[in-house]
Amino acid sequence: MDSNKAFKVTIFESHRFQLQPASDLRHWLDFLQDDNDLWIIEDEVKPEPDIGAIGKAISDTQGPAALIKNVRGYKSPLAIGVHGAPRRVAKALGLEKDANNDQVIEAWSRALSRYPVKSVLRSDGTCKENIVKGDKVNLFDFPLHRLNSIDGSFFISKGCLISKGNDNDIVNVGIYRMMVLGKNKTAIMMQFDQHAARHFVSQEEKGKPLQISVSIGNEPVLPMVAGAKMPYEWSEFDVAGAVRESPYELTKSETSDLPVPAHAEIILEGVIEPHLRVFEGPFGEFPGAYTGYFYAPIFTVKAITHRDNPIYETLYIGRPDAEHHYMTRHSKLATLTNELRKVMPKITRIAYLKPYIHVAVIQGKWTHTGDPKQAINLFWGVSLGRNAKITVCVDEDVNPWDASEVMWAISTRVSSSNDIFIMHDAYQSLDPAHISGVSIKIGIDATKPRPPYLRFKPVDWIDPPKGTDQWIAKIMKMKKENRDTGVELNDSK
Amino acid sequence: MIQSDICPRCSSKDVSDVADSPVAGIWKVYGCNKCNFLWRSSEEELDVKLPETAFDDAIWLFKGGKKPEMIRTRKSI
Repeated sequence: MDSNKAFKVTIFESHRFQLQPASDLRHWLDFLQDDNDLWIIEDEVKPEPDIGAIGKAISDTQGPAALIKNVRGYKSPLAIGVHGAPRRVAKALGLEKDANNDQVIEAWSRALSRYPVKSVLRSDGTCKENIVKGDKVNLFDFPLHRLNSIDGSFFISKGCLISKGNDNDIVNVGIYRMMVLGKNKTAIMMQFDQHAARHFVSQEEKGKPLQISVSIGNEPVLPMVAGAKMPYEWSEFDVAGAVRESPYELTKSETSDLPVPAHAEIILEGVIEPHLRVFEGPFGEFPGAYTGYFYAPIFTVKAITHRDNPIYETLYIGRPDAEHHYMTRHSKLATLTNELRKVMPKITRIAYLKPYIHVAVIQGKWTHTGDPKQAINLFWGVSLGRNAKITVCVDEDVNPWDASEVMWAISTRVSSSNDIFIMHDAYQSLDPAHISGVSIKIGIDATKPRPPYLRFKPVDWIDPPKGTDQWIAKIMKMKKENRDTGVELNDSK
Repeated sequence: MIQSDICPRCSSKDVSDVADSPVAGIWKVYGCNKCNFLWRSSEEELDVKLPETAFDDAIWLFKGGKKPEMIRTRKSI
């Protein structure tokens, strides 16, 4: 612990009293350290395989975030696992560390209802403490690493890409994997309906490059917002402001008009070249498998600005649940629920069963026999729903977060082959089972029968006996007092 | 120590130096000009061999508009 305190002084002292709490990565790490949720690694760490292994270990154990001071051959420290446990996601939102899934989503929903909290543009920013341009640009100044063993190169996995389209003045922010090709080049993997891809395609049609900036090492809210999928007309900076209940502080890029987080650790600036594609991949992606190869556009880095002694932040991605899943699960669900409820107010909750977004569960207050199937098709039609391979509809008496309850609904409320339906030829290039980017989706209606067409004869479902809630409360109290009841209680109910 | 003159993934001998460690003399990064694989001299183990047909199913992201030039490799960028 003494060495931790010493580190805090050497790295953070110059900044920690100048900014509001958690307004940047350093203050967030300070907070985590004070909360015994930061692991400072003093010993030398090898870029491969140690960094990936540490990220995997944090994800598997939901351990503390790690700040690695000494990556072999590099001069800059590296942070990993900053979002690698659900409690840190909750804390970043100002919630109690043991907040359950519904409470975290509720916090996101409240934040989305506050949109927009307009960002402010400053003339300065700590991200400008060092400015490197032209031939001096070298991505290898920062601790790049191969995250998983078959990755095709060193990937930048937690860069928030900032871009703007021609059709409006909204600045979008998203996280895209970037495969390093050289000191100032990366490939960028983007899918057609992602916002930066829309910006890029519209520029490419005119034969022009797209200006972008990439922010690495941010306070903890922006990556959660950038990793979700906000509406195209929304600026993720103004969403982050709504979450933090204070305007996001931005400053201008050196080589373009794009705003960037004023207190980010590292900013990459440059262009995505039109009409050029390069082999990209493989990369160990969130389904837990390596993707194959893509023809991906090329990012040329023209300038890098960074703080003194910059902290390079990386994200562990691998078999669920990993840091990436913890980071974006709730922000994605809140956005999805917000979007779908506008069209279908009967939807009450949407959840992902482990593993992550491959199995989605939609709970609703259904009134018509066709409602659940309509909800599933609606879900598949929005881009965030695209990643779900299996989508199940349940009633309000089934907790959508609880796999055993969902399986109970499937095993008792699916009546005929009509209740299980398949959409063929669905776009999904990150599904390990895809063929040329095409896969299937499976919909399951696991709801009770409703008029006008009864799928099976209605039965009486067993409700909990009167007073069960009070008895559960007593057992929970005993459990809290460390008395071994031998009972596993689900806190997500 | 991984070889510097042959790509561990596609066995091409068309490789080049990409970067040196910021702390001098610790490692070098090499890049394959045929398949774009990058590797570090200090990596202890690389089991990344590719079949000849590995690139056949490469997906062209957001098809549409003018067909881009598929330059494929880092050599000419």
